[in-house]
Amino acid sequence: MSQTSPTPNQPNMVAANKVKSIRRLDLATSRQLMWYKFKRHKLAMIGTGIIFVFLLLSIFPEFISTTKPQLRDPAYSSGPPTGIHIFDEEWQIHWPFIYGHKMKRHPVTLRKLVVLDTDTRVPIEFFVRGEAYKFLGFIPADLHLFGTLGTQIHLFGTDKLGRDIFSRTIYATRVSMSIGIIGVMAAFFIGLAIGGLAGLKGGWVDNVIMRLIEFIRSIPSLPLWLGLAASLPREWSATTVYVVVTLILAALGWTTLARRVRSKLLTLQNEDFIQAARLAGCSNYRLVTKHMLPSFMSYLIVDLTVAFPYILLAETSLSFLGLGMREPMVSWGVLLFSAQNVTALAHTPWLLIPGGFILVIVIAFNFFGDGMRDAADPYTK
Amino acid sequence: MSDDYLLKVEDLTISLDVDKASIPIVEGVNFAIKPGRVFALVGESGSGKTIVSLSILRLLGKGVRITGGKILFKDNNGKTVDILKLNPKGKDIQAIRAAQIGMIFQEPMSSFSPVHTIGNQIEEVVNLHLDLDKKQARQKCIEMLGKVGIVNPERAFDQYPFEFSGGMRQRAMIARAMICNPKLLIADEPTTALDVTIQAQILKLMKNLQNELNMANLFISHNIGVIAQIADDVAIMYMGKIVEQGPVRDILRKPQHPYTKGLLRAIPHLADIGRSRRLEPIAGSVPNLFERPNGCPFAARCSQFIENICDRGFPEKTKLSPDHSVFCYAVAQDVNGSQMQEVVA
Amino acid sequence: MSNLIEVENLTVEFSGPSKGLFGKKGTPITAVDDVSLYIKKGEALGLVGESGSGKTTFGRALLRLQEPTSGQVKMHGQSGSKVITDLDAKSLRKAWQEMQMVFQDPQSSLNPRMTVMDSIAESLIVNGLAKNMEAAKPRVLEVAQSCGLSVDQLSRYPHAFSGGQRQRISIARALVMQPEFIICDEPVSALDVSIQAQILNLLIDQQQELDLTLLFISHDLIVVAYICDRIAVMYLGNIIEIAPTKDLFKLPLHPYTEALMSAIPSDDPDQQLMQAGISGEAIGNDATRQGCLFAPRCQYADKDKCQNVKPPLTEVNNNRLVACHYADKLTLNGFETI
Ligand SMILES: Nc1ncnc2c1ncn2[C@@H]1O[C@H](COP(=O)(O)OP(=O)(O)OP(=O)(O)O)[C@@H](O)[C@H]1O
Ligand SMILES: Nc1ncnc2c1ncn2[C@@H]1O[C@H](COP(=O)(O)OP(=O)(O)OP(=O)(O)O)[C@@H](O)[C@H]1O
Ligand code: SF4
Ligand SMILES: [Mg+2]
Ligand SMILES: [Mg+2]
Repeated sequence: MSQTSPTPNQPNMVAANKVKSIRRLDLATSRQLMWYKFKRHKLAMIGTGIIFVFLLLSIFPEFISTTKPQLRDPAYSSGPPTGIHIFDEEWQIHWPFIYGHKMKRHPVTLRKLVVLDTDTRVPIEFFVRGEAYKFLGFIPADLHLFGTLGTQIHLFGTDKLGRDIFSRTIYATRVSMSIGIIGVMAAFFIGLAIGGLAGLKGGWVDNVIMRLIEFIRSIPSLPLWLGLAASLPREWSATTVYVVVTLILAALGWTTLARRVRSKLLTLQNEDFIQAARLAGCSNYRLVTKHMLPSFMSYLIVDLTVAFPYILLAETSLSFLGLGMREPMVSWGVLLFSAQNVTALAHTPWLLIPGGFILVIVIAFNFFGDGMRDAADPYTK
Repeated sequence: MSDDYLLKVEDLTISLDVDKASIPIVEGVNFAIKPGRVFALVGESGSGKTIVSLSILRLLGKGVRITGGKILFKDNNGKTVDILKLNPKGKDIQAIRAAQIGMIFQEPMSSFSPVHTIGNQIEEVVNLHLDLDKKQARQKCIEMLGKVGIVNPERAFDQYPFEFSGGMRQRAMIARAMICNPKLLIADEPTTALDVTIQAQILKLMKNLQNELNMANLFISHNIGVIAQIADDVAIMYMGKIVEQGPVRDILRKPQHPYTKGLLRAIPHLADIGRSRRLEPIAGSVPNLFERPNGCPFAARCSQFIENICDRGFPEKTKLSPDHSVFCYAVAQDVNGSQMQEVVA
Repeated sequence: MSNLIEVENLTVEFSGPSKGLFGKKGTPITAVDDVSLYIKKGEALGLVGESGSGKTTFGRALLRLQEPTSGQVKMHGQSGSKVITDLDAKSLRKAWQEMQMVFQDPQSSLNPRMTVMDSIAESLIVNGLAKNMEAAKPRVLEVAQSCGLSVDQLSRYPHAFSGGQRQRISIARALVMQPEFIICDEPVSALDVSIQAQILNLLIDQQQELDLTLLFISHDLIVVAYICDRIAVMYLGNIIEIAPTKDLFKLPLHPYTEALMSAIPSDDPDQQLMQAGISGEAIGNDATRQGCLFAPRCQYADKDKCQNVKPPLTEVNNNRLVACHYADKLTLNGFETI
């Protein structure tokens, strides 16, 4: 016997066809729904674009930068950003070019000064051969996105030692972004494991973990980082320091995530569809992995996008205070470290340009996070 | 049509913005509420009952737009205002809300703010619309709380919503909606969330207050029993359109529209208990927003469906009596047919 | 007919809201209070009561989705008798193949991130009756069809379905393992009346066809009366009356049952019901309560016995079970015409 109660009549559905151009939200998967919702956020889309560009920068810094971060151009130390010109002195139009430069001393103060040499015009070229490097770490290459032949171009100027700030910033992007990403991932797994333990075991395990989280969260963070970072032995290599700093930041970032995981697990356990899955005979493992995790994963991702700028800023603060990354590893914080004193700022303000990068990426992540928060629950209007 | 209405809705059309398109969710709705009468809107979930009631107070949310029609209201000064012409954030509509049209909302939980006492929240309405000093205002609130059957009104005045049960909160809602003696009370499913015993108490209360204050009432519900007990006039809504309208006895005893008939057959009746276990459902289900039919909205589920007629646009109004009208091709054919026979005979 | 389910002295307590700074546990709330009853094979037992009376908790406790504080639940199924309350986790999972539940809220009873097909097939797969989706498909299609679902929509996600269709999906999911006993927790409360009738018919048909035993939970007395052979009335965690449907409607023996019936609004505008409507509301049940739990709202209550002695569920008149001191003395109003 069939219980079907199909719609008895099939009236023509002109109107229905009329609205066919509308996206059939009712047929979309949860991922599609999330994407539709996310797309509605203009700022979030802009944020996504910026993050994407930053990711490209950190994957291909060798190609995008014009030179290596530690390479010096003694003839152009503390030089300002190179101007890019189209018109020459006679208002003649040219392919974008830069002027050559000479080093002079200030007649009174005797400070070194970089002076433009308007007689030499050096055109900017794309895909130029330059400094050799290993593409993605293993393919030997020497192609750069842009550059000049002869006189070097310094888009963001140079520091006291004549190192190119533009190239340094691009390389620093890789270091800083990777600290953020690795830190966030580490925090994610720690948070998932510990929060999951608390939420699933309950009882005293839950109690102990919650107290621990409260304890960690009540420690003022700056002094703690300072303490931890200051205790790193000076003789450690830059790479070791990099790894350890990342771990320190992750170790402090997991608490929010662990809490979220725990509370989601606790509320989900009472949801009807979880009870139904239990009745269907699902093991605890299947309940968690197949039913619970997917339904709050999107919230975790939101938390991660919110945590990312914090980790970035933490790294920057540490390095800025001279306690985090050190040369020859360059991060944004390390770059800003050299812009610390007033005289440097007064005479070479371009040292602050890396700060702009931090600002942009932090704001981009906040926009992105806003959109994600909206999209995290695709089933509400 | 007689002109002794208090509120008249004419050709009200409301649309929902989805993506880039706009889908009508209430279309060409007409009805009039007479002073002192209870007018009930009945319909399935999603048929647009709440949307219609919110549009009367201009409280529609984002993405929901009124795209046509008039809502005429005879205000306290005897003037007729078109509510749809007022600025939804302006002074004029605020003077009407609460003071002249009171509202009881559908969600009993979210209708009071949790951080203020019940008394404060009722007093707020008094202060906004009536010219009373603090002591008088408090006195009036306590009086009203007593009137809606709250046992210790002095104490209740200083309590917070979470200290109230669902039934008590609904009583407080009624007190707040009625404190300024509005000429019209809109009650959106005021008893749906309550237990039957509490529902009976609230219905009794509303009926008594109704008689005492001679207020008109727009009552929304999908419970036929509740409608039968409280309403004078009924309009049946289906997918944003009124399909049948008339005095409560006509609708319940002589339903004409196939949907109304189906609805009344589908509900379990006391008298049939033990006779048959099976019910008579309406086949199919309400089409979703994206599958709105072109003709009669009920066409796809209708047992009297006439091909090539019922799917050709919304049917004209058929009057069965001065007050009872139906929008259905099949009924129209019947009525016209019998008129023809009368002419022939 | 023999009993399929036997419940003895089932009690479920929830720790009350904690009081004071150091989280001292408050008096526990008794959600299900020492309930004993049986359900016969092939029978539909109705459980009615107001919101918060403990219906859901009772249903969950039968399946041990909620661990009972004390008491026993026995099931005498085709695979032999077992004491559900004594089973370990593994045997319990096995027992669930024979006892299933349909939940109240169609919005939250399906995993929004799984297709309907996957949801229905899940128990076949995890219980090892089908190796994979492919093997499970014939049975899924069969059960889906018998529940009135159109087969070509099964690969959609729950949010593409209306409330009524989701309830059909839930029923199909519960039926897929061919259980003997199904608990329906207010399966139609969230649905429109025109859809309610479809779902109720579906349940009735499936019950008859598959010889299912039903526990049908609802707060709507008339709906329960349509479906069920016997009705148990619950008040604050206690069964206060239990009787065959017709007997109960003709002659309620407990004042609360009478009040429930008189509160049903009649669909005849000229018939004024609600005369015996009771005043006040239910106050929570905990160990500190004395006397009949209904006494504060009861119009027949006396000052002595009703306030101090809790009436047990006892047999009066002709085999009727009721918990009221005055059950045999009062003459209450039901619907004689039935
Ligand atoms: N703010 C909103 N955004 C999007 N859609 C909305 C909104 N408000 C209402 N709708 C849609 O408008 C339609 C009518 O809704 P409405 O709330 O008026 O129905 P109703 O008759 O009151 O139903 P119920 O009995 O469930 O309260 C529904 O399809 C609903 O999904
Ligand atoms: N997890 C819980 N923790 C604490 N108290 C609970 C819990 N679940 C239920 N309760 C309490 O137990 C009592 C019975 O609740 P239950 O949900 O079983 O009632 P019900 O009869 O199903 O009501 P409804 O008709 O509203 O579904 C209520 O007082 C409720 O507040
Ligand atoms: S025992 Fe007393 S109080 Fe309880 S229901 Fe019977 S008469 Fe009423
Ligand atoms: Mg509504
Ligand atoms: Mg319940």
